[in-house]
Amino acid sequence: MTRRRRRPRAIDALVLGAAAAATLGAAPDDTPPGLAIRAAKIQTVTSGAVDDGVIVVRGGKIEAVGPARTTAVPEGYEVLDYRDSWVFPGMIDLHSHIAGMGGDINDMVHPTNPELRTYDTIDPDDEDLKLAAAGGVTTVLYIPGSGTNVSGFGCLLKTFGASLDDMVVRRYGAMKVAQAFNPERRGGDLGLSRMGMSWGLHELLDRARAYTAAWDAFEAGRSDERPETDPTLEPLKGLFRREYPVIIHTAGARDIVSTARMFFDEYKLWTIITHGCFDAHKAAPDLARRDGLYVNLGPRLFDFNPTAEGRFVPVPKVYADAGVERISFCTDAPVVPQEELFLQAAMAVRFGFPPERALRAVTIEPAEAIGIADRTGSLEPGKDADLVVKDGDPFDPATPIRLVLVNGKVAFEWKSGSKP
Amino acid sequence: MVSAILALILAAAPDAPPPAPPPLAIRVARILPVTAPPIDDGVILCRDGKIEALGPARTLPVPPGYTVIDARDDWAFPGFVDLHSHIASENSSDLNDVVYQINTDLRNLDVIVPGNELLVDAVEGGVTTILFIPGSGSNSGGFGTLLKTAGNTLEEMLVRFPGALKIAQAGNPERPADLGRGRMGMNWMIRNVLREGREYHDAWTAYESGASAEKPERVVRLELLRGLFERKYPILVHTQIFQVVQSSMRILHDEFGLWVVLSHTTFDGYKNAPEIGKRDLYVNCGPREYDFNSTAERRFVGIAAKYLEGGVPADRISINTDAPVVPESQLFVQAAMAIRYGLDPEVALRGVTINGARAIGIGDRVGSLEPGKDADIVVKGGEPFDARTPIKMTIVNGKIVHDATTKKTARD
Repeated sequence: MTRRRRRPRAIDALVLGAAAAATLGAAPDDTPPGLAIRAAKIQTVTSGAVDDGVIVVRGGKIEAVGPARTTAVPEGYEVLDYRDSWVFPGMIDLHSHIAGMGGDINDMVHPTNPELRTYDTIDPDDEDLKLAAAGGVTTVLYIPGSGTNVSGFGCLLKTFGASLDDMVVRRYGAMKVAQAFNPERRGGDLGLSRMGMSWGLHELLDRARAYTAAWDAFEAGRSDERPETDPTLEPLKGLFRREYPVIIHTAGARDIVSTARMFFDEYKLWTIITHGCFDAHKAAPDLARRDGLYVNLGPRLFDFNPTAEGRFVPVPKVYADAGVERISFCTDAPVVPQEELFLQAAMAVRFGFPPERALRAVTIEPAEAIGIADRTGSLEPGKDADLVVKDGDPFDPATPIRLVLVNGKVAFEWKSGSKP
Repeated sequence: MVSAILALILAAAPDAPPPAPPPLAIRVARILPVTAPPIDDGVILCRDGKIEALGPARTLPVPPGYTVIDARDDWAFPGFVDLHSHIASENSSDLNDVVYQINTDLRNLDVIVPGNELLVDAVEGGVTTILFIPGSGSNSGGFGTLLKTAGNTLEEMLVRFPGALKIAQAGNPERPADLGRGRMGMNWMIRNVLREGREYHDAWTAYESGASAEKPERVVRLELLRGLFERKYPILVHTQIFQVVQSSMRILHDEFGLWVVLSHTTFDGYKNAPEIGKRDLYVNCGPREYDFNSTAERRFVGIAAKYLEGGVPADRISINTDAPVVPESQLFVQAAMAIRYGLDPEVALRGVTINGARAIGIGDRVGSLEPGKDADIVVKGGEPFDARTPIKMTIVNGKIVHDATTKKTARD
């Protein structure tokens, strides 16, 4: 590891900026300086790998990526020498519960709770977020739990930032649905079985669809009647207008098919299936023929099938072999620690998932599934400078992460200065 | 109907003033007016319950007919103001009614017992104005009352009703078996009642201005919320830890545009200071005046000092007791504790006087010694935060309500 000049970190800028604001009443200037990282290999994900490359960053965005011998670094940019390391995009996890306190993710008096949201419960200083950033995970969908059929709206956020505004990518990231395997109402309520739970979801979605149609008609001038605002249904308008998706906790072949039918076929929503474990892989061909349906696998990436085969079923490989194109991986953190998202991908490769798709499945695939591929998920000029510097292959647990940038700011830096 | 009662109460104080006490001249070694530099060997003249004049003894003659209080070894400063207090009722059972999560139809105006033991303690400790608020057992405990601590009747004590709406954002009102188990549910209910209140206020405003002919139906639980949207009185919100203070700021101030006093603000809530400092918000620190920062710094940090350092303006920080959690008479010890953990002593003095008064909208009446303001004065044998020197005398509305030399107290 070559020595590098220390430069002001984001946290210093924040403290200094705040002090300046307090004494002078001036707004802090938090624009990070321009910098360039030179690395042995840059995995852009969407434009192949660049050996002996350089990536140029300014104002929180990527300015350029290319071979060191042909890519100019502008005057005054600090050059970080990581010629022994690899660079790849910050990873994205669409199934995460770590940005606040565990007690805040389930409010379970009602079976459906679309008026709830995690946005107001985020602790930007959360320890697990820091671990996430240190583990190269730079964007998470912080969703409510699966204690009810609709537990509320998850917030899409970066894992590092000076304030909540800095971190939030989209306040209404996705609506969380839990189709079964947790939200069952065992207290004598409607929804003890899949019949009751499905009815509750249908009833809500029917009302929301009619509500959205009434507002669409009014706003387009096709109707003079202004609908009454219903705060419970208000956030569901964005689902039917395809402004954000629904992410559905669903597992087992029976449930996964009913999920695809209900949300994707019947209500025509932007749909992400999450978990997809147990024997759900048997329905993989059913999912493969639905173009535009996203599948987010984890935390369990294998199924032990004691009856038919008597061996571990490699779940992600089965989905891939069946022709499911849009696959991403999740941790369900803290079920699997957020910083171990890379191990989830490694596990998928171990069980036969194509290695070249594994990196996509924790970067550009989740970015596309959640609708932010114009901002993150690959290393391309114009995108957010969310990147990881690591001493080798992204999924090799034996090499350490050296540096993580989020929006061009240092979210994590290996402190010792020497190889372990 | 509710507003008619309210009008009656608001009108009661100015229409029926208590009999004026005799005019007073207080001569002390040092006056701390708070909003002006200290005056050595000074005199304060009080008449008709107000401060008439103050200045150096050699240039401010005492007119004939004034009772002169000779306290030339002592200091005088304004009566303290505490915005987080629960002491004016008979006992704490009147603080929380917790069947519902949101109780905007409740008020503590009707439970006040003038001259109760804790109010006497307040007076003897130099605290002359309190915001008496409901507890944090539900997300909204109801409306609090702004009071002087001395007085034999409610009318004598009353400064303003409603003083503020009490909201508890989290960290007590959690309902383990009900909606509001976590912060998602609690924040939803707070947002929802404020949304209802805003719609209600807009409908009535439209009707009253003639913009709408449709008379809205009267809803008692929303009626007093109108005053929040008219900015007649603020929300005082029980809030603490990073994400909860953040939600108070974003929901109550950013989303609903309300006048907000953030109260407690403890644990690591101070990490929001740069964001709070950008907004029109007040911070009311206590009862815990420090946080043990176990992660980053591994040391005790002063809460109020951290807010100041983080960018909250010095005139927006006040200090509380949450009495009886900390006895009301120990508000000065709370300020001393804040100083011990790094707060500028001048900011601490403002934090128990003018800053609280301004945060609650009565900075024109109390919180400093200025001509025309209420004669709420403390005479003490030394500087305000020294625990070794006694409070000799407390004056409220120009009347001596505690006199240590004669053992005369608020009850006499």
